[in-house]
Amino acid sequence: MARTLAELQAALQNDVLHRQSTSLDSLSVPEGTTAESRLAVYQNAYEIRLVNILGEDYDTLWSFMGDTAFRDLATSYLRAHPSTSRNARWIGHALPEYLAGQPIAAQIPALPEIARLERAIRDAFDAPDAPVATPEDLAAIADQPEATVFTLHPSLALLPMQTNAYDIFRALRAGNTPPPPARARDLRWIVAWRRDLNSHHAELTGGEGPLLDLARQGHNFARLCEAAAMLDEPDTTAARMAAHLRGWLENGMISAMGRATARDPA
Amino acid sequence: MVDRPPFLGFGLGLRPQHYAEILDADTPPPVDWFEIISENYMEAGGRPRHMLDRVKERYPLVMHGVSMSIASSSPLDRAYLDRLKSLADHVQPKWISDHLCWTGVHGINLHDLMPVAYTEEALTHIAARIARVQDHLGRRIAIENVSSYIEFAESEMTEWEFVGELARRADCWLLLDVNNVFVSGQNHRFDGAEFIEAIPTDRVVQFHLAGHSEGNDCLIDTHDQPVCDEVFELYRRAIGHFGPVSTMIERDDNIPPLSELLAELARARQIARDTLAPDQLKVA
Ligand SMILES: [Fe+2]
Repeated sequence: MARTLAELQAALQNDVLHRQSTSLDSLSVPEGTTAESRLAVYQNAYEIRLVNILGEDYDTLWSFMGDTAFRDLATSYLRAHPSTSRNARWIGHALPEYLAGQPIAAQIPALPEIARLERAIRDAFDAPDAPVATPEDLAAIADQPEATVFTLHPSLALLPMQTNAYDIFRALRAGNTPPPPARARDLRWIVAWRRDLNSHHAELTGGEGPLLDLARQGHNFARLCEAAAMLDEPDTTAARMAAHLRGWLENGMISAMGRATARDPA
Repeated sequence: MVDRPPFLGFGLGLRPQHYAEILDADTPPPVDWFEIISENYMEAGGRPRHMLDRVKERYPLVMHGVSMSIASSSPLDRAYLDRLKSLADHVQPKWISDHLCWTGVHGINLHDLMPVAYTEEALTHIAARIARVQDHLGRRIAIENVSSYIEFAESEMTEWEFVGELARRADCWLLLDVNNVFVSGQNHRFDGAEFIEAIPTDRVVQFHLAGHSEGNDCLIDTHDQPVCDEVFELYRRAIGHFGPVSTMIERDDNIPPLSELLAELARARQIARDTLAPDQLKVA
C-alpha cells in the first residue's frame, strides 16, 4: 500500500530517531545497494550530527568524561529529548538538568555543574544586546543610593556550585590536568556573562556572589548593604560594597541602575 | 513572469572563521556577495549580529535557511516565519532561500534535509505552503534541490519534473545546487545534465557549488570538501543552459582559509567567462 505524505514522513522519522526499519517497503534504491544501507545514511548522520553539536556545546564535559561516557550520555539524552527546536544551538539546553538526574551525577556531582557552566557561557555568547552602565552613572543615583535597584546584563548567569567543578573546568580549558572531583566546603559562586562580544566567567568570593544574587532578584542597594554587614565586619561594609559595585560596573555586568519601581523583588 | 532578481556575480557563504579576513584586510577579498545561514543570526545579539551588520555595510547579502521544513506534513511554524521576516527586515537580502525537504514532523526536528516522494499529493501540498510563506514574507522565495540517498516507491515523477512543476505552480524561484544534482544523480543513477536541462530557465536565481564525500554505497553531501571536477563540469552545462546566475561556493565543515575558497570561486568565474559573453556577466 502506498503511503501518504504524512504516513511516509512519520515512518521515516521514526526510523531515523529509533534506528528502526518500518519504512523499508517505501524505499527504492538502485541495484547493488540495499534500502537498509541507504536508510542507515540518515540514521548515522542524525546521531553523529547531534552528538557532535552536544560535544561542541559541552566540550569540557566531554574531555572530562572521556569519549565513551560522553557518547553514552549524549545518545541517551537525545533519546529522552529529541530536538524540538529549529536552531541546533538549543539541542543541548536540557542536558545539565538531564545529567543531574543520572546515576553518574550522584557519584560525581561536579559533572552537572560543569555542564551548567558550559551552558551559561554558551548562552552568554548570543544573549540579547543591552546597554551597559558605567561608574559615571553612579552620579545619577547619588542622591538616593539606598533606593537604587539594578538590572543585570541579560547575558549574565550566576551559578552557585557545591563542587570544585570550576577548578576542573579552568584546568581543562587551560590544557592542564584537572583536580579530582570533590565537594566544596562552602557554596562557590561562579558568574558567566558577555562583555565586548566575548563570553567571560569568573568566581565571586568574599560574599560577592550572594550580594550579586540579591541584586539580580531586584533587592535595593540598602538591602544589599544590610546583607553585606552580616557577611563580614560591619564597619567595612561601605568600602566593600563600593568595591563590589565598582567591579560589577567595570566588568559590564549591570545594564541599568535606578529608583525602584512598583515591581516587587522576584 | 516578473523579472528575476539581479545577477550578483560570484559569492561565498559567510562563515565566522573568515570574519577577520573579510573585514580587516587592506584590500577586500574578490567576493561579490555573501550568503548567510538565517538561523545563525536569529538570536537577538552578541557577536553574530555585530559581524553581520559590518558585512552588510559592504556586501549584498542573501539569506539561506535550513529549517523552514516546507515539505513537512505538519503545520508551518508561524513563529519561525515571523523571526525570518524580522531578520529579513534587518538584513534586506536580495532573496531568501530554503530547501525542498522536510526537517521533522510532530514537533520533532531531525536537523537534516529529508527527501520527499515526488507525488501529485506532495506537489499540491508544498506549492500551497510556498504560496503561504511568500504571502507572509511579502516576496518570492527560492527553493533548493537537496541531495538524497533514498527514493520512494510512491514517487510518480522524476525529481526534475517535480522541481520544475513546483516552481511553476508555487510561482517561486529556484536555487539550483549543482553538487546536489550530481550527488543525487550518482546515488539514483540519473544523468545530472538531463536534470539541469529540464529545469525552467526563468526560475533559477542562484547556484550552489559544494563538495561531497563517499559513503559505503553512495555519495554523501557533506560540504566539507572542495568542489570536484565533475561538479564544475556540470556547472559549465548549467551556466550555459541558464545564462548568468549568481554563483557561490558552499562550504560548511572542515572550513579552509578564505584563499582556498577564493581559488574555487575563481575557477567558477573562469568557467562562466568561457561559457558566456562578457556583457552577460556584468554585475547589476
Ligand atoms: Fe546547497
